[in-house]
Amino acid sequence: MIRKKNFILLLLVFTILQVSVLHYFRIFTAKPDLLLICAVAASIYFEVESALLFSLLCGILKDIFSISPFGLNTFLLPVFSFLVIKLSRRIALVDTPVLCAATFVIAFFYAVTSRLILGYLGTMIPFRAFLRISFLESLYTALVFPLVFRLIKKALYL
Amino acid sequence: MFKFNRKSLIAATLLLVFLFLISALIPSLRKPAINIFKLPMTVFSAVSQEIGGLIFFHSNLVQTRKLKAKVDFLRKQLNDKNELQLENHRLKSLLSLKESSPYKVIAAGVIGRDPSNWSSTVIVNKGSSSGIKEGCVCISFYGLVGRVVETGGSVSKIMLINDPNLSVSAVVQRSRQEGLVCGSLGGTLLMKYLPKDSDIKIGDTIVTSGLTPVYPKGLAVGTVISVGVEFSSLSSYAVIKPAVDLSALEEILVIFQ
Repeated sequence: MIRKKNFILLLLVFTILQVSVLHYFRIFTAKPDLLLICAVAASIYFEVESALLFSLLCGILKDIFSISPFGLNTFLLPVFSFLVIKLSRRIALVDTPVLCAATFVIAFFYAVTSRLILGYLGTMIPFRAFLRISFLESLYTALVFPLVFRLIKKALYL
Repeated sequence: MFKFNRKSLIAATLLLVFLFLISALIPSLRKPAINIFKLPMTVFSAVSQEIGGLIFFHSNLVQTRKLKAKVDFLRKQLNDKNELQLENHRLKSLLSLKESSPYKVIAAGVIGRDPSNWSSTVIVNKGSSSGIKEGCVCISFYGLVGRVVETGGSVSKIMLINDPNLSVSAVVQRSRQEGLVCGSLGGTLLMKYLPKDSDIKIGDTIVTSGLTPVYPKGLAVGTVISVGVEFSSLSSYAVIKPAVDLSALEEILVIFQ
């Protein structure tokens, strides 16, 4: 039986980790996106309504600590979660390498989309920094994914 | 790839509208939510600092020895500076020049950082109840750190100088050449809009110019590590290493008066 309460607790812990401890594990100023992993995991494990709700929660938690003029992640994470649900019906997201590759692609598109929206709103950054952060963040998120995914799996079936 | 019928299209549109409305509400949710997270964040931050201290024990020991030697050297320099300051004060009073008033600061500890990689902000454990307001300038003992962008009752968000949204008018301390220092999300800053033949070289110290009224004049921003010409060939730029190690901030001083 899947325990949704455990998932919410895990989300809160990951949020605090994301804004505190994860800073010490940065590689070239990029850190993995734990909340994006949670949203992807929610899209795989839960039914559509719960998955969208959990990814919305992930977005809200991420936006609380950021300074974007509106809830960018609150808007984007459920949209991406919906796309992952649709994608999981076409491709079997079961094997770890496939999941990692899918996470890399999702994280990269997520980074590019959010950056483009922020750019449209007037926050420009150098193109090289944009490419570096987008690529490294996606790669790092994909590499961390198996570990976090295992943790989520354990928490869900405790 | 995805097929939508009319019903699901309406559902998707409604979902998007709902998400947009929720997104618009987020800024008003931030202050109370951060206050709720303050305690666990403080605990996590303190524990991680302690664990970091234990893991990097040896490098910390070496650094402490180096710093102790530097403290002795700086103490002597400080003594000389104090003498000069007193002399400066006496001469200024003789010439009846107005003294610039010293600013009041409040110390705040860093308890969190931006969750994304697209901006450079920190969350500190002092807020409006301690007198901090939006727009207050933040410094450390080494130089300029950033500016307060949001304040809650007992927490504040500070945008660091390596954030691309923050620009500071600055001058080269040696030649008084003016430019605009902007963040680049990395470990360095960019000083832009310098004339092509500007007098700036590697090793020059960059300080705030005082042209932007909120930033006090003369705060150390960083040191020039390279100089180049813009792609348009109309102006040059300088890459600056910040005076403050922004990735290892633990305590900052907020100028509130």
